[in-house]
Amino acid sequence: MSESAVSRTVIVANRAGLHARTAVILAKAAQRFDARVLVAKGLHQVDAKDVLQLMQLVAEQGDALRLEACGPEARQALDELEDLFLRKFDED
Amino acid sequence: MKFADFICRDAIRAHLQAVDKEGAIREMVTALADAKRVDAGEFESVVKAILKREELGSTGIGRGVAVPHTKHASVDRLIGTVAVSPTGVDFASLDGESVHLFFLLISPPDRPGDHLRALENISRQLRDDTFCKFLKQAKTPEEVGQLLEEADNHQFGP
Repeated sequence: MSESAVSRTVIVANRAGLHARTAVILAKAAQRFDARVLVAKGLHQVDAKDVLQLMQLVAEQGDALRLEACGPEARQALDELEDLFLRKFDED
Repeated sequence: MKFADFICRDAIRAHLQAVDKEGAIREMVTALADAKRVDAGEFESVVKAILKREELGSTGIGRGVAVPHTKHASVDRLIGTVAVSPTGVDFASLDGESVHLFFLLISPPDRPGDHLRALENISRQLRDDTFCKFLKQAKTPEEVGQLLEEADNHQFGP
């Protein structure tokens, strides 16, 4: 990744996990930024802007996910995404 | 998880009449009630629960597909149905496109993992364009059921 690459770990805190609606919210948020954003659960890494890929992570409550981003708005993208996880996607 | 593990074949619909979100959800829950998978007395409660979840954010995941769902105490295991809308339904989707293919899921409140595994199955199969296209073009519930069976038997995708 380029010099602007950033990463951080988040925990899936909402009870239902990364289901269809939360995946849509996450993908929509990621799509707003000029950055390539990846989400990984263990060795399974997917594109954060692709809902179908996100739903294949089967990310359940308590799972740790690694967020990685590169590009001009990488940091802002991760700030936004991390915030969604911290807010439990406004669920529960 | 396979489609056969949660899709009620006798509740599949190939010609949704509704053109709006609430109508489409009502038709699909009616199909599940007619198939005796949803208790008739719980019908309104299930519809309202699904609509309430949709208010928090659309389950229109793009590519003309939506996955409306809810937890509901009246079911003791994950159940679901598939519906095709030839005309398309406005579902406030991620990509703004109308929805032609629905997977509606109802799960018991204490089993979020099953729901995620069903979504994993749906999303994995939908990545195959041929499967997605054939489903949207299906003319009868039997045809839809056949396609799901073929997907379960790995006849689509990698």
